[in-house]
Amino acid sequence: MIKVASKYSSKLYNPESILLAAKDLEEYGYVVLGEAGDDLTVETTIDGSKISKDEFLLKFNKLLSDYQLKATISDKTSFIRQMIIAQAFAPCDNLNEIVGAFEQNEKR
Amino acid sequence: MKNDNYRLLPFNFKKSDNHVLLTNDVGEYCFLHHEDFNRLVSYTLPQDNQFDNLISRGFICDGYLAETIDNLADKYRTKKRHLYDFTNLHMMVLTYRCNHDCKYCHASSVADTCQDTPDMSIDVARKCVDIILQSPAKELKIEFQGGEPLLNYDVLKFVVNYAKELNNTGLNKHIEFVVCTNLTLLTPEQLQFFKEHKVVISTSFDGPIDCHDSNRKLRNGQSSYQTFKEKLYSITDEEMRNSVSALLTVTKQNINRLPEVVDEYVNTGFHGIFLRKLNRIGPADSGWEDIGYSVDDFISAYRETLDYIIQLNIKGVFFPEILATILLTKIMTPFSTGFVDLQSPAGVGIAGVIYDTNGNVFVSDEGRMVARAVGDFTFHIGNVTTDSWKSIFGNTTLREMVYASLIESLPTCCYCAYQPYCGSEPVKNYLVNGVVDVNCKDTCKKYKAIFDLLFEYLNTNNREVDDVLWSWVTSRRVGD
Repeated sequence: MIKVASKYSSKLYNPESILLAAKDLEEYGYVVLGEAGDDLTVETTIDGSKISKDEFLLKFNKLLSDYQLKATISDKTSFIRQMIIAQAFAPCDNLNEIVGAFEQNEKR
Repeated sequence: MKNDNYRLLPFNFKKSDNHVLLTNDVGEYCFLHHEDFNRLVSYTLPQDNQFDNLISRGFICDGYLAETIDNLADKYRTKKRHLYDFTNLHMMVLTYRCNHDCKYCHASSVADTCQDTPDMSIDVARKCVDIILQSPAKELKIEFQGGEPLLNYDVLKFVVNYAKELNNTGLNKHIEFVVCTNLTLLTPEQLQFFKEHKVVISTSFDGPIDCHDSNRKLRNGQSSYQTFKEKLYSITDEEMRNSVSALLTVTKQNINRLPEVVDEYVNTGFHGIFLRKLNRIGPADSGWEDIGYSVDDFISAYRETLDYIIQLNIKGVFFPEILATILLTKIMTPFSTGFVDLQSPAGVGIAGVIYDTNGNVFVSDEGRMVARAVGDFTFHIGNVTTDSWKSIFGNTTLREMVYASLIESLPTCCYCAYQPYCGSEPVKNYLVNGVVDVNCKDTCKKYKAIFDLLFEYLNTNNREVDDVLWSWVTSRRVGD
Protein backbone atom coordinates (compact mmCIF):
# COMPACT_ATOMS: atom_id res chain seq x y z
CA MET A 1 0.00 0.00 0.00
CA ILE A 2 1.25 3.46 -0.89
CA LYS A 3 0.29 6.45 1.23
CA VAL A 4 0.19 9.93 -0.21
CA ALA A 5 -0.66 13.16 1.59
CA SER A 6 -2.09 15.99 -0.51
CA LYS A 7 -3.64 19.38 0.03
CA TYR A 8 -6.44 20.90 -1.95
CA SER A 9 -7.56 24.47 -1.60
CA SER A 10 -11.00 24.63 -0.02
CA LYS A 11 -11.64 27.70 -2.18
CA LEU A 12 -11.49 25.47 -5.24
CA TYR A 13 -12.72 22.09 -4.06
CA ASN A 14 -15.35 20.92 -1.62
CA PRO A 15 -15.09 17.75 0.46
CA GLU A 16 -18.02 16.13 -1.38
CA SER A 17 -16.16 16.31 -4.70
CA ILE A 18 -13.09 14.70 -3.13
CA LEU A 19 -15.17 11.87 -1.70
CA LEU A 20 -17.05 11.26 -4.94
CA ALA A 21 -13.81 11.15 -6.92
CA ALA A 22 -12.42 8.70 -4.39
CA LYS A 23 -15.53 6.54 -4.63
CA ASP A 24 -15.06 6.16 -8.37
CA LEU A 25 -11.59 4.79 -7.71
CA GLU A 26 -12.49 2.67 -4.68
CA GLU A 27 -11.18 -0.50 -6.27
CA TYR A 28 -7.70 1.07 -6.27
CA GLY A 29 -7.61 2.86 -2.95
CA TYR A 30 -9.32 5.16 -0.50
CA VAL A 31 -8.99 8.62 1.02
CA VAL A 32 -9.27 10.04 4.51
CA LEU A 33 -10.11 13.72 4.84
CA GLY A 34 -8.39 15.82 7.45
CA GLU A 35 -10.05 18.63 9.41
CA ALA A 36 -11.56 21.42 7.35
CA GLY A 37 -9.57 24.62 7.03
CA ASP A 38 -8.15 26.83 4.26
CA ASP A 39 -6.79 23.68 2.74
CA LEU A 40 -8.37 20.25 2.67
CA THR A 41 -5.82 17.67 3.68
CA VAL A 42 -6.33 14.32 2.03
CA GLU A 43 -4.49 11.17 2.96
CA THR A 44 -4.73 8.69 0.10
CA THR A 45 -3.94 4.99 0.42
CA ILE A 46 -3.30 3.31 -2.92
CA ASP A 47 -3.14 -0.41 -3.70
CA GLY A 48 0.19 -0.42 -5.50
CA SER A 49 -0.45 -3.88 -6.92
CA LYS A 50 -3.36 -2.59 -9.00
CA ILE A 51 -2.23 0.88 -10.02
CA SER A 52 0.81 3.13 -9.75
CA LYS A 53 0.72 6.23 -7.56
CA ASP A 54 1.08 8.59 -10.52
CA GLU A 55 -1.69 6.91 -12.50
CA PHE A 56 -4.02 6.98 -9.50
CA LEU A 57 -3.36 10.64 -8.79
CA LEU A 58 -3.85 11.54 -12.46
CA LYS A 59 -7.22 9.77 -12.56
CA PHE A 60 -8.18 11.17 -9.17
CA ASN A 61 -7.39 14.76 -10.07
CA LYS A 62 -9.33 14.50 -13.37
CA LEU A 63 -12.33 13.07 -11.55
CA LEU A 64 -12.05 15.68 -8.82
CA SER A 65 -11.99 18.46 -11.39
CA ASP A 66 -15.08 17.06 -13.10
CA TYR A 67 -17.02 16.53 -9.87
CA GLN A 68 -16.16 20.03 -8.73
CA LEU A 69 -17.39 21.42 -12.05
CA LYS A 70 -20.62 19.44 -11.67
CA ALA A 71 -21.04 20.76 -8.14
CA THR A 72 -20.44 24.32 -9.33
CA ILE A 73 -22.97 23.99 -12.17
CA SER A 74 -25.45 22.43 -9.76
CA ASP A 75 -25.01 25.29 -7.27
CA LYS A 76 -25.34 27.97 -9.95
CA THR A 77 -28.46 26.39 -11.43
CA SER A 78 -30.04 25.19 -8.19
CA PHE A 79 -32.82 27.79 -8.20
CA ILE A 80 -33.72 27.00 -11.80
CA ARG A 81 -33.81 23.26 -11.08
CA GLN A 82 -36.10 23.83 -8.09
CA MET A 83 -38.38 26.07 -10.15
CA ILE A 84 -38.63 23.47 -12.93
CA ILE A 85 -39.67 20.77 -10.48
CA ALA A 86 -42.03 23.07 -8.61
CA GLN A 87 -43.61 24.29 -11.85
CA ALA A 88 -43.94 20.68 -13.05
CA PHE A 89 -46.01 19.53 -10.08
CA ALA A 90 -47.48 22.70 -8.58
CA PRO A 91 -47.55 25.30 -11.34
CA CYS A 92 -47.94 28.90 -10.27
CA ASP A 93 -49.41 31.85 -12.13
CA ASN A 94 -46.73 34.32 -11.12
CA LEU A 95 -43.71 32.50 -12.49
CA ASN A 96 -42.65 35.63 -14.39
CA GLU A 97 -42.57 37.65 -11.17
CA ILE A 98 -40.62 35.00 -9.28
CA VAL A 99 -38.06 34.65 -12.06
CA GLY A 100 -37.87 38.42 -12.43
CA ALA A 101 -37.06 38.78 -8.73
CA PHE A 102 -34.40 36.09 -9.03
CA GLU A 103 -32.78 37.80 -12.01
CA GLN A 104 -32.82 41.16 -10.19
CA ASN A 105 -31.16 39.55 -7.21
CA GLU A 106 -28.47 38.08 -9.44
CA LYS A 107 -27.55 41.48 -10.80
CA ARG A 108 -26.93 42.90 -7.30
CA MET B 1 -14.29 35.85 -26.24
CA LYS B 2 -16.78 35.91 -23.37
CA ASN B 3 -20.42 35.56 -24.38
CA ASP B 4 -22.57 37.09 -21.66
CA ASN B 5 -25.69 36.32 -23.60
CA TYR B 6 -26.43 32.96 -22.12
CA ARG B 7 -26.76 31.24 -18.78
CA LEU B 8 -26.29 27.58 -17.99
CA LEU B 9 -29.30 25.47 -17.13
CA PRO B 10 -29.01 22.39 -14.89
CA PHE B 11 -27.16 19.53 -16.55
CA ASN B 12 -24.70 16.73 -15.91
CA PHE B 13 -21.94 15.43 -18.14
CA LYS B 14 -19.72 12.44 -18.82
CA LYS B 15 -16.35 12.77 -20.52
CA SER B 16 -15.01 10.18 -22.93
CA ASP B 17 -11.87 10.25 -25.04
CA ASN B 18 -13.49 11.90 -28.04
CA HIS B 19 -16.47 13.77 -26.70
CA VAL B 20 -18.48 14.94 -23.74
CA LEU B 21 -22.04 13.70 -23.26
CA LEU B 22 -24.39 16.23 -21.69
CA THR B 23 -27.75 15.23 -20.22
CA ASN B 24 -30.35 17.17 -18.28
CA ASP B 25 -33.22 16.44 -15.89
CA VAL B 26 -35.77 16.26 -18.70
CA GLY B 27 -33.82 13.57 -20.49
CA GLU B 28 -32.39 15.61 -23.36
CA TYR B 29 -28.86 14.73 -24.43
CA CYS B 30 -26.16 16.25 -26.55
CA PHE B 31 -22.60 15.34 -27.60
CA LEU B 32 -19.94 18.04 -27.64
CA HIS B 33 -16.28 18.01 -28.56
CA HIS B 34 -14.08 18.74 -25.58
CA GLU B 35 -13.18 22.21 -26.88
CA ASP B 36 -16.83 23.17 -27.27
CA PHE B 37 -17.60 21.87 -23.80
CA ASN B 38 -14.82 23.97 -22.33
CA ARG B 39 -16.16 27.01 -24.19
CA LEU B 40 -19.66 26.25 -22.92
CA VAL B 41 -18.70 26.21 -19.24
CA SER B 42 -16.40 29.22 -19.58
CA TYR B 43 -19.16 31.25 -21.25
CA THR B 44 -17.20 31.66 -24.49
CA LEU B 45 -19.44 29.57 -26.74
CA PRO B 46 -20.09 31.42 -30.01
CA GLN B 47 -23.65 31.86 -31.25
CA ASP B 48 -23.83 29.23 -33.98
CA ASN B 49 -25.80 26.07 -34.75
CA GLN B 50 -24.31 24.34 -31.74
CA PHE B 51 -25.51 27.22 -29.56
CA ASP B 52 -29.05 26.99 -30.97
CA ASN B 53 -29.07 23.23 -30.46
CA LEU B 54 -28.11 23.64 -26.81
CA ILE B 55 -30.89 26.19 -26.31
CA SER B 56 -33.53 24.00 -27.95
CA ARG B 57 -32.56 21.05 -25.76
CA GLY B 58 -32.59 23.04 -22.54
CA PHE B 59 -28.87 23.18 -21.68
CA ILE B 60 -28.53 26.93 -21.95
CA CYS B 61 -30.88 29.87 -22.04
CA ASP B 62 -30.32 33.23 -23.72
CA GLY B 63 -33.21 35.18 -22.20
CA TYR B 64 -36.89 34.30 -21.57
CA LEU B 65 -35.96 32.32 -18.46
CA ALA B 66 -39.55 32.04 -17.18
CA GLU B 67 -40.73 30.59 -20.51
CA THR B 68 -37.79 28.20 -20.53
CA ILE B 69 -38.60 27.01 -17.01
CA ASP B 70 -42.24 26.51 -17.99
CA ASN B 71 -41.24 24.52 -21.06
CA LEU B 72 -38.81 22.33 -19.13
CA ALA B 73 -41.42 21.82 -16.42
CA ASP B 74 -43.81 20.41 -19.04
CA LYS B 75 -41.13 18.00 -20.19
CA TYR B 76 -40.26 17.02 -16.63
CA ARG B 77 -43.89 16.32 -15.83
CA THR B 78 -44.11 14.13 -18.93
CA LYS B 79 -41.02 12.21 -17.88
CA LYS B 80 -42.55 11.54 -14.48
CA ARG B 81 -46.01 10.76 -15.89
CA HIS B 82 -45.95 7.27 -14.38
CA LEU B 83 -46.18 8.78 -10.87
CA TYR B 84 -49.67 10.10 -11.51
CA ASP B 85 -51.06 6.64 -12.17
CA PHE B 86 -49.88 5.14 -8.89
CA THR B 87 -49.89 1.36 -8.53
CA ASN B 88 -50.97 -0.21 -11.79
CA LEU B 89 -49.12 -3.55 -11.72
CA HIS B 90 -50.57 -6.03 -9.24
CA MET B 91 -48.93 -9.44 -9.06
CA MET B 92 -50.78 -12.28 -7.39
CA VAL B 93 -48.96 -15.41 -6.24
CA LEU B 94 -51.59 -18.11 -6.70
CA THR B 95 -49.45 -21.00 -5.49
CA TYR B 96 -45.90 -22.01 -4.64
CA ARG B 97 -46.42 -25.43 -6.16
CA CYS B 98 -44.71 -26.09 -9.45
CA ASN B 99 -43.98 -29.04 -11.72
CA HIS B 100 -40.55 -27.60 -12.53
CA ASP B 101 -37.47 -27.51 -10.33
CA CYS B 102 -35.59 -24.56 -11.81
CA LYS B 103 -32.18 -23.90 -10.30
CA TYR B 104 -32.77 -20.16 -10.10
CA CYS B 105 -36.43 -20.22 -9.06
CA HIS B 106 -37.23 -16.79 -7.68
CA ALA B 107 -40.26 -18.12 -5.85
CA SER B 108 -38.49 -20.92 -3.98
CA SER B 109 -41.24 -23.16 -5.32
CA VAL B 110 -42.28 -26.53 -3.91
CA ALA B 111 -43.38 -29.80 -5.54
CA ASP B 112 -46.66 -29.70 -7.41
CA THR B 113 -47.97 -32.45 -5.13
CA CYS B 114 -46.96 -30.66 -1.94
CA GLN B 115 -49.77 -30.27 0.57
CA ASP B 116 -47.85 -28.25 3.17
CA THR B 117 -47.84 -24.88 1.46
CA PRO B 118 -51.41 -23.64 0.97
CA ASP B 119 -52.42 -22.07 -2.32
CA MET B 120 -54.18 -18.73 -2.46
CA SER B 121 -57.82 -19.31 -1.51
CA ILE B 122 -60.82 -17.78 -3.23
CA ASP B 123 -61.49 -15.66 -0.13
CA VAL B 124 -57.99 -14.18 -0.16
CA ALA B 125 -58.18 -13.72 -3.93
CA ARG B 126 -61.47 -11.85 -3.58
CA LYS B 127 -59.96 -9.51 -0.98
CA CYS B 128 -56.91 -8.96 -3.25
CA VAL B 129 -59.18 -7.93 -6.12
CA ASP B 130 -61.18 -5.65 -3.79
CA ILE B 131 -57.94 -3.90 -2.86
CA ILE B 132 -56.58 -3.83 -6.44
CA LEU B 133 -59.68 -2.17 -7.86
CA GLN B 134 -59.33 0.62 -5.30
CA SER B 135 -56.10 1.75 -6.98
CA PRO B 136 -56.53 5.21 -8.53
CA ALA B 137 -54.80 3.96 -11.70
CA LYS B 138 -57.13 3.92 -14.71
CA GLU B 139 -55.17 1.08 -16.29
CA LEU B 140 -54.44 -2.00 -14.25
CA LYS B 141 -52.42 -5.10 -14.95
CA ILE B 142 -53.14 -8.18 -12.86
CA GLU B 143 -50.32 -10.67 -13.25
CA PHE B 144 -50.66 -14.26 -12.05
CA GLN B 145 -47.48 -15.76 -10.68
CA GLY B 146 -46.35 -18.81 -8.76
CA GLY B 147 -44.86 -21.44 -8.58
CA GLU B 148 -46.93 -22.47 -11.55
CA PRO B 149 -50.20 -20.49 -11.44
CA LEU B 150 -52.03 -22.99 -13.67
CA LEU B 151 -51.90 -25.38 -10.69
CA ASN B 152 -54.41 -23.05 -9.03
CA TYR B 153 -56.46 -22.44 -12.14
CA ASP B 154 -59.81 -22.20 -10.32
CA VAL B 155 -58.62 -19.15 -8.41
CA LEU B 156 -57.14 -17.65 -11.58
CA LYS B 157 -60.51 -17.99 -13.31
CA PHE B 158 -62.28 -16.57 -10.28
CA VAL B 159 -60.03 -13.49 -10.21
CA VAL B 160 -60.56 -12.74 -13.90
CA ASN B 161 -64.33 -13.05 -13.61
CA TYR B 162 -64.62 -11.22 -10.29
CA ALA B 163 -62.36 -8.36 -11.36
CA LYS B 164 -64.43 -7.83 -14.50
CA GLU B 165 -67.68 -8.02 -12.51
CA LEU B 166 -66.43 -5.47 -9.98
CA ASN B 167 -65.12 -3.22 -12.73
CA ASN B 168 -68.55 -3.22 -14.37
CA THR B 169 -70.06 -1.56 -11.29
CA GLY B 170 -68.94 1.77 -12.68
CA LEU B 171 -65.20 1.71 -12.04
CA ASN B 172 -64.49 1.64 -15.80
CA LYS B 173 -60.85 0.76 -15.51
CA HIS B 174 -58.95 -0.90 -18.30
CA ILE B 175 -57.74 -4.21 -16.86
CA GLU B 176 -55.16 -6.42 -18.50
CA PHE B 177 -54.47 -9.94 -17.26
CA VAL B 178 -51.15 -11.72 -17.63
CA VAL B 179 -50.33 -15.29 -16.62
CA CYS B 180 -46.65 -16.13 -15.97
CA THR B 181 -46.53 -19.82 -16.76
CA ASN B 182 -44.00 -22.44 -17.80
CA LEU B 183 -46.69 -23.55 -20.33
CA THR B 184 -46.17 -27.27 -19.76
CA LEU B 185 -49.52 -27.77 -17.99
CA LEU B 186 -51.61 -25.67 -20.36
CA THR B 187 -54.88 -27.34 -21.39
CA PRO B 188 -57.17 -26.52 -24.34
CA GLU B 189 -59.86 -25.41 -21.88
CA GLN B 190 -57.46 -22.95 -20.23
CA LEU B 191 -56.32 -21.71 -23.61
CA GLN B 192 -59.91 -21.09 -24.62
CA PHE B 193 -60.54 -19.15 -21.41
CA PHE B 194 -57.41 -17.05 -21.97
CA LYS B 195 -58.51 -16.31 -25.50
CA GLU B 196 -62.02 -15.28 -24.44
CA HIS B 197 -60.80 -13.03 -21.66
CA LYS B 198 -57.68 -11.78 -23.45
CA VAL B 199 -55.32 -13.14 -20.81
CA VAL B 200 -51.80 -12.60 -22.11
CA ILE B 201 -49.26 -15.39 -21.63
CA SER B 202 -45.75 -14.70 -20.38
CA THR B 203 -43.40 -17.66 -20.19
CA SER B 204 -39.74 -18.53 -19.64
CA PHE B 205 -37.41 -19.90 -22.25
CA ASP B 206 -33.65 -20.27 -21.86
CA GLY B 207 -32.65 -21.16 -25.40
CA PRO B 208 -31.52 -24.38 -27.15
CA ILE B 209 -32.52 -27.68 -25.54
CA ASP B 210 -29.36 -28.19 -23.52
CA CYS B 211 -29.39 -24.59 -22.21
CA HIS B 212 -33.09 -24.68 -21.38
CA ASP B 213 -33.04 -28.09 -19.73
CA SER B 214 -29.84 -27.55 -17.79
CA ASN B 215 -31.67 -25.15 -15.43
CA ARG B 216 -35.35 -25.78 -16.10
CA LYS B 217 -35.97 -29.50 -15.64
CA LEU B 218 -39.27 -30.98 -14.59
CA ARG B 219 -39.49 -32.21 -11.00
CA ASN B 220 -39.30 -35.79 -12.23
CA GLY B 221 -35.91 -34.96 -13.77
CA GLN B 222 -37.12 -35.09 -17.35
CA SER B 223 -36.60 -32.52 -20.05
CA SER B 224 -39.16 -29.72 -20.17
CA TYR B 225 -38.03 -28.36 -23.56
CA GLN B 226 -40.15 -30.66 -25.78
CA THR B 227 -43.30 -30.25 -23.71
CA PHE B 228 -42.78 -26.50 -23.64
CA LYS B 229 -42.51 -26.39 -27.43
CA GLU B 230 -45.53 -28.65 -27.94
CA LYS B 231 -47.69 -26.48 -25.70
CA LEU B 232 -46.41 -23.30 -27.32
CA TYR B 233 -47.25 -24.59 -30.81
CA SER B 234 -50.67 -25.72 -29.58
CA ILE B 235 -51.54 -22.00 -29.44
CA THR B 236 -52.77 -21.77 -33.00
CA ASP B 237 -54.77 -18.55 -32.72
CA GLU B 238 -52.50 -16.00 -34.40
CA GLU B 239 -53.36 -13.04 -32.19
CA MET B 240 -52.84 -15.04 -29.04
CA ARG B 241 -49.65 -16.62 -30.32
CA ASN B 242 -48.21 -13.22 -31.21
CA SER B 243 -48.95 -11.95 -27.73
CA VAL B 244 -46.97 -14.73 -25.99
CA SER B 245 -43.73 -13.31 -24.66
CA ALA B 246 -40.82 -15.17 -23.15
CA LEU B 247 -38.26 -14.17 -20.56
CA LEU B 248 -34.71 -15.37 -20.75
CA THR B 249 -32.65 -15.87 -17.61
CA VAL B 250 -28.97 -15.59 -18.43
CA THR B 251 -26.98 -18.22 -16.52
CA LYS B 252 -23.50 -19.69 -16.74
CA GLN B 253 -24.97 -22.33 -19.05
CA ASN B 254 -26.04 -19.90 -21.77
CA ILE B 255 -24.02 -16.72 -21.20
CA ASN B 256 -21.42 -17.68 -23.80
CA ARG B 257 -24.05 -18.79 -26.31
CA LEU B 258 -26.46 -15.88 -26.31
CA PRO B 259 -26.43 -15.42 -30.11
CA GLU B 260 -27.54 -19.07 -30.34
CA VAL B 261 -30.26 -18.32 -27.79
CA VAL B 262 -31.36 -15.37 -29.93
CA ASP B 263 -31.54 -17.66 -32.99
CA GLU B 264 -33.60 -20.15 -30.99
CA TYR B 265 -36.00 -17.38 -29.98
CA VAL B 266 -36.36 -16.22 -33.57
CA ASN B 267 -36.90 -19.76 -34.88
CA THR B 268 -39.45 -20.45 -32.15
CA GLY B 269 -41.45 -17.42 -33.26
CA PHE B 270 -40.86 -15.00 -30.40
CA HIS B 271 -40.79 -11.33 -31.28
CA GLY B 272 -38.11 -10.04 -28.95
CA ILE B 273 -35.82 -10.99 -26.11
CA PHE B 274 -34.96 -9.55 -22.71
CA LEU B 275 -31.35 -10.34 -21.82
CA ARG B 276 -32.04 -10.59 -18.12
CA LYS B 277 -29.19 -10.87 -15.64
CA LEU B 278 -29.61 -13.50 -12.96
CA ASN B 279 -30.68 -12.13 -9.56
CA ARG B 280 -28.75 -13.59 -6.68
CA ILE B 281 -31.74 -14.33 -4.45
CA GLY B 282 -33.05 -17.61 -2.99
CA PRO B 283 -31.94 -20.79 -4.83
CA ALA B 284 -29.89 -18.68 -7.27
CA ASP B 285 -27.80 -17.47 -4.35
CA SER B 286 -27.17 -20.91 -2.89
CA GLY B 287 -26.49 -22.33 -6.36
CA TRP B 288 -24.39 -19.38 -7.54
CA GLU B 289 -21.28 -21.44 -8.14
CA ASP B 290 -23.22 -23.66 -10.58
CA ILE B 291 -25.18 -21.02 -12.46
CA GLY B 292 -23.71 -17.59 -11.60
CA TYR B 293 -21.18 -15.31 -13.29
CA SER B 294 -19.58 -11.92 -12.76
CA VAL B 295 -21.14 -8.63 -13.78
CA ASP B 296 -18.19 -8.09 -16.13
CA ASP B 297 -19.03 -11.35 -17.90
CA PHE B 298 -22.64 -10.22 -18.26
CA ILE B 299 -21.60 -6.84 -19.65
CA SER B 300 -19.30 -8.43 -22.17
CA ALA B 301 -21.96 -10.93 -23.28
CA TYR B 302 -24.60 -8.21 -23.47
CA ARG B 303 -22.40 -6.07 -25.73
CA GLU B 304 -21.72 -8.91 -28.09
CA THR B 305 -25.32 -10.09 -28.20
CA LEU B 306 -26.82 -6.65 -28.66
CA ASP B 307 -24.57 -6.13 -31.64
CA TYR B 308 -25.66 -9.51 -33.00
CA ILE B 309 -29.33 -8.59 -32.56
CA ILE B 310 -28.85 -5.21 -34.26
CA GLN B 311 -27.19 -6.91 -37.23
CA LEU B 312 -30.12 -9.34 -37.38
CA ASN B 313 -32.51 -6.42 -37.55
CA ILE B 314 -30.44 -4.77 -40.28
CA LYS B 315 -30.86 -7.98 -42.29
CA GLY B 316 -34.63 -7.57 -42.03
CA VAL B 317 -35.66 -9.54 -38.94
CA PHE B 318 -37.61 -7.25 -36.58
CA PHE B 319 -36.45 -8.47 -33.19
CA PRO B 320 -35.89 -5.96 -30.38
CA GLU B 321 -33.86 -6.44 -27.23
CA ILE B 322 -36.38 -5.38 -24.62
CA LEU B 323 -34.08 -3.79 -22.03
CA ALA B 324 -32.36 -1.72 -24.71
CA THR B 325 -35.78 -0.73 -26.05
CA ILE B 326 -36.91 0.47 -22.64
CA LEU B 327 -33.73 2.48 -22.05
CA LEU B 328 -33.77 3.91 -25.58
CA THR B 329 -37.38 4.99 -25.09
CA LYS B 330 -36.27 6.93 -22.03
CA ILE B 331 -33.34 8.46 -23.95
CA MET B 332 -34.92 9.15 -27.31
CA THR B 333 -38.45 10.15 -26.37
CA PRO B 334 -39.94 12.51 -23.81
CA PHE B 335 -42.04 9.73 -22.31
CA SER B 336 -41.78 7.58 -19.22
CA THR B 337 -41.89 3.84 -19.73
CA GLY B 338 -43.51 2.40 -16.64
CA PHE B 339 -40.64 -0.07 -16.28
CA VAL B 340 -40.95 -0.60 -12.55
CA ASP B 341 -37.42 -1.92 -12.02
CA LEU B 342 -35.73 1.31 -13.09
CA GLN B 343 -37.58 4.37 -11.91
CA SER B 344 -36.96 7.30 -9.65
CA PRO B 345 -38.49 7.07 -7.15
CA ALA B 346 -38.36 3.28 -7.39
CA GLY B 347 -41.50 1.51 -8.55
CA VAL B 348 -41.68 -0.57 -5.36
CA GLY B 349 -45.24 -0.34 -4.15
CA ILE B 350 -46.11 2.79 -6.12
CA ALA B 351 -45.88 1.22 -9.57
CA GLY B 352 -46.04 -2.48 -8.78
CA VAL B 353 -46.94 -4.58 -5.76
CA ILE B 354 -47.25 -8.30 -5.03
CA TYR B 355 -49.86 -10.26 -3.09
CA ASP B 356 -48.70 -13.50 -1.49
CA THR B 357 -50.82 -16.65 -1.22
CA ASN B 358 -51.91 -15.74 2.31
CA GLY B 359 -52.75 -12.14 1.43
CA ASN B 360 -49.48 -10.59 2.60
CA VAL B 361 -48.57 -7.61 0.48
CA PHE B 362 -44.96 -6.78 -0.41
CA VAL B 363 -43.49 -3.78 -2.22
CA SER B 364 -41.97 -6.01 -4.90
CA ASP B 365 -41.37 -9.58 -5.96
CA GLU B 366 -37.82 -9.37 -4.59
CA GLY B 367 -39.21 -8.15 -1.28
CA ARG B 368 -41.46 -11.20 -1.16
CA MET B 369 -38.53 -13.48 -2.08
CA VAL B 370 -36.51 -12.06 0.81
CA ALA B 371 -39.34 -12.86 3.23
CA ARG B 372 -39.76 -16.37 1.88
CA ALA B 373 -36.07 -17.21 1.54
CA VAL B 374 -34.74 -15.81 4.84
CA GLY B 375 -37.77 -14.75 6.86
CA ASP B 376 -36.98 -11.03 6.60
CA PHE B 377 -40.22 -9.07 6.41
CA THR B 378 -38.68 -5.64 5.92
CA PHE B 379 -40.60 -5.12 2.68
CA HIS B 380 -43.97 -6.30 3.95
CA ILE B 381 -46.61 -3.54 3.90
CA GLY B 382 -49.81 -5.23 5.01
CA ASN B 383 -52.30 -8.03 4.50
CA VAL B 384 -55.45 -7.85 2.40
CA THR B 385 -57.44 -9.83 4.98
CA THR B 386 -56.84 -7.31 7.77
CA ASP B 387 -55.75 -3.99 6.25
CA SER B 388 -57.42 -1.33 4.19
CA TRP B 389 -56.12 0.05 0.89
CA LYS B 390 -55.12 3.23 2.68
CA SER B 391 -53.12 1.50 5.36
CA ILE B 392 -51.36 -0.78 2.84
CA PHE B 393 -50.44 1.90 0.31
CA GLY B 394 -49.91 4.62 2.89
CA ASN B 395 -47.65 2.31 4.89
CA THR B 396 -44.57 3.88 6.50
CA THR B 397 -42.25 1.31 4.89
CA LEU B 398 -43.55 2.24 1.48
CA ARG B 399 -43.14 5.95 2.12
CA GLU B 400 -39.59 5.47 3.39
CA MET B 401 -38.76 3.38 0.33
CA VAL B 402 -39.98 6.21 -1.91
CA TYR B 403 -37.89 8.82 -0.08
CA ALA B 404 -34.82 6.59 -0.09
CA SER B 405 -35.03 5.78 -3.78
CA LEU B 406 -35.05 9.27 -5.28
CA ILE B 407 -31.80 9.06 -7.18
CA GLU B 408 -31.90 12.80 -7.89
CA SER B 409 -30.83 13.25 -4.29
CA LEU B 410 -28.58 10.22 -3.72
CA PRO B 411 -24.93 11.37 -3.49
CA THR B 412 -23.70 8.62 -5.84
CA CYS B 413 -26.40 9.29 -8.45
CA CYS B 414 -27.14 13.01 -8.46
CA TYR B 415 -24.12 13.88 -10.64
CA CYS B 416 -24.38 10.87 -12.92
CA ALA B 417 -25.01 11.71 -16.57
CA TYR B 418 -27.32 8.69 -16.83
CA GLN B 419 -29.47 9.71 -13.87
CA PRO B 420 -32.43 10.98 -16.00
CA TYR B 421 -32.82 7.51 -17.46
CA CYS B 422 -31.97 5.37 -14.46
CA GLY B 423 -33.51 4.32 -11.18
CA SER B 424 -32.99 2.62 -7.89
CA GLU B 425 -33.55 -0.99 -6.75
CA PRO B 426 -33.96 -0.62 -2.99
CA VAL B 427 -34.54 -4.31 -2.25
CA LYS B 428 -31.40 -5.34 -4.09
CA ASN B 429 -29.50 -2.54 -2.34
CA TYR B 430 -30.73 -3.88 0.98
CA LEU B 431 -29.65 -7.43 0.14
CA VAL B 432 -26.16 -6.38 -0.87
CA ASN B 433 -25.45 -3.37 1.35
CA GLY B 434 -27.88 -3.74 4.20
CA VAL B 435 -29.50 -0.36 3.45
CA VAL B 436 -31.95 0.67 0.75
CA ASP B 437 -30.33 3.95 -0.28
CA VAL B 438 -26.82 2.83 -1.17
CA ASN B 439 -26.79 1.45 -4.66
CA CYS B 440 -25.58 -2.04 -5.37
CA LYS B 441 -22.21 -1.64 -7.09
CA ASP B 442 -22.75 -4.44 -9.62
CA THR B 443 -26.18 -3.15 -10.63
CA CYS B 444 -24.77 0.34 -11.10
CA LYS B 445 -21.86 -1.04 -13.11
CA LYS B 446 -24.22 -3.05 -15.31
CA TYR B 447 -26.51 -0.15 -16.13
CA LYS B 448 -23.64 2.29 -16.68
CA ALA B 449 -22.07 -0.14 -19.14
CA ILE B 450 -25.36 -0.57 -21.01
CA PHE B 451 -25.92 3.19 -21.15
CA ASP B 452 -22.33 3.64 -22.37
CA LEU B 453 -23.06 1.14 -25.15
CA LEU B 454 -26.37 2.69 -26.18
CA PHE B 455 -24.91 6.20 -26.29
CA GLU B 456 -21.99 4.86 -28.33
CA TYR B 457 -24.52 3.62 -30.87
CA LEU B 458 -26.34 6.95 -30.82
CA ASN B 459 -23.13 8.90 -31.32
CA THR B 460 -21.83 6.91 -34.27
CA ASN B 461 -24.53 8.31 -36.58
CA ASN B 462 -24.77 5.00 -38.43
CA ARG B 463 -28.01 5.34 -40.39
CA GLU B 464 -28.77 1.61 -40.43
CA VAL B 465 -28.25 1.28 -36.68
CA ASP B 466 -30.27 4.44 -35.99
CA ASP B 467 -33.15 3.04 -38.04
CA VAL B 468 -33.09 -0.21 -36.07
CA LEU B 469 -33.04 1.54 -32.71
CA TRP B 470 -35.93 3.80 -33.74
CA SER B 471 -37.84 0.77 -35.02
CA TRP B 472 -37.64 -0.74 -31.53
CA VAL B 473 -38.75 2.45 -29.82
CA THR B 474 -41.69 2.89 -32.17
CA SER B 475 -42.47 -0.86 -32.46
CA ARG B 476 -42.47 -0.53 -36.23
CA ARG B 477 -40.31 -2.44 -38.62
CA VAL B 478 -37.65 -0.53 -40.51
CA GLY B 479 -39.22 0.62 -43.74
CA ASP B 480 -42.80 0.66 -42.41
